[in-house]
Amino acid sequence: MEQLHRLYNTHVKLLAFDLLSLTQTPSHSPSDPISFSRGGTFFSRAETVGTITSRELKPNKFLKFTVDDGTGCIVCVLWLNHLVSPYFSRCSPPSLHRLYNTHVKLLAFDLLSLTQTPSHSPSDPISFSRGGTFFSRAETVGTITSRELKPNKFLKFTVDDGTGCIVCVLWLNHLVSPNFSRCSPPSVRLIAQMASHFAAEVRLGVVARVRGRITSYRGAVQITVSDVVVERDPNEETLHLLECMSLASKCYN
Amino acid sequence: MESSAIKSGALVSLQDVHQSSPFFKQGASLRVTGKLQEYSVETAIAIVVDGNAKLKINTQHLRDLSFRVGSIYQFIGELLIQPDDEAILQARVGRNVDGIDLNLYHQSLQLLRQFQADHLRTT
Repeated sequence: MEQLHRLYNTHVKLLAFDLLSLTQTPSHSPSDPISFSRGGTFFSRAETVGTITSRELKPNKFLKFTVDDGTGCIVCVLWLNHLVSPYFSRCSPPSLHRLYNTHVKLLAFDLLSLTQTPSHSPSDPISFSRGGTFFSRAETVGTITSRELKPNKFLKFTVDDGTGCIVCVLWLNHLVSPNFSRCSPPSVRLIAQMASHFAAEVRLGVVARVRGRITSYRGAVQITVSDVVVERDPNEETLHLLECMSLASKCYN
Repeated sequence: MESSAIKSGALVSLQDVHQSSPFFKQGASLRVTGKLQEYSVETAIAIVVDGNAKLKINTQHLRDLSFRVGSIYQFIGELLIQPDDEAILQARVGRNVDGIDLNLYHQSLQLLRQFQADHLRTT
């Protein structure tokens, strides 16, 4: 049930004093996913911004550091033992890349030029690459220039950021899809409601920030949408262009 | 590489839309930004300006957009070059962008062109 909470896999932005006060949800079995809660809301991921005030490096094992945002110090552990850890023995090398599950900010012409990494088995996660860097998720900001709705199936739309048009697919078939058959009906309804909300936000001419998994259909790169936010500030597209260019040269290449 | 039938509107300034520009092509998909100088309800033609440059925009296909002289708008559409070499953008989407920092926007376009050129050179 916790996994299906709308914030469960979202990197919630919490102040340190808030994050440090979360309570770990009791698990009923060792295989239950770990979650934390506050007031009935479940979290599994967080985002913090602050000053690094301590740093302890164990080479090839971990980096432990603290982030002080002025309301508390959060201890952060960055594991560096991927190449030897048994936890990764069944992963294909691309999924171990530091950007693998990050919503990378790519300009459309850049995203559309990615190459799908050949998979060695059906269970290998899907990834895309450019110049030795592996990606699985992306974020784009641009103008919605087309919209095709198949009710209760999907919404297909294009996002034009001025450098290309990215096809985005937002699935709307949660209530009938076998992929959700093992989830509780109230939770599936919640996920379906959120998807419907996102679909309603997608209108021709608006600027939207779209995040999701990078996928491929008939050889063409596209985004399978996880969330959509309409950007009303007219400078957001400009800022996204600048961020993409900066990240491409400093982080992604 | 385009992955859909919808063409991307190349980011251009109004100063780029002139006869000797590589963007001045019949059917070119462009995205332009400018201040609304005139609008005719009868013809649905808007005239937007940016500095000394101006461009006509055919807004007949746009919905849910109100036009206010003095506001800044952004349009994506295809360039129609008439027999007298006058260009008009057949807009397919448009929006009011009042509040946009045009200096930052124009500088970003320059950086983007350099970025794309560098990317082409290295791939």
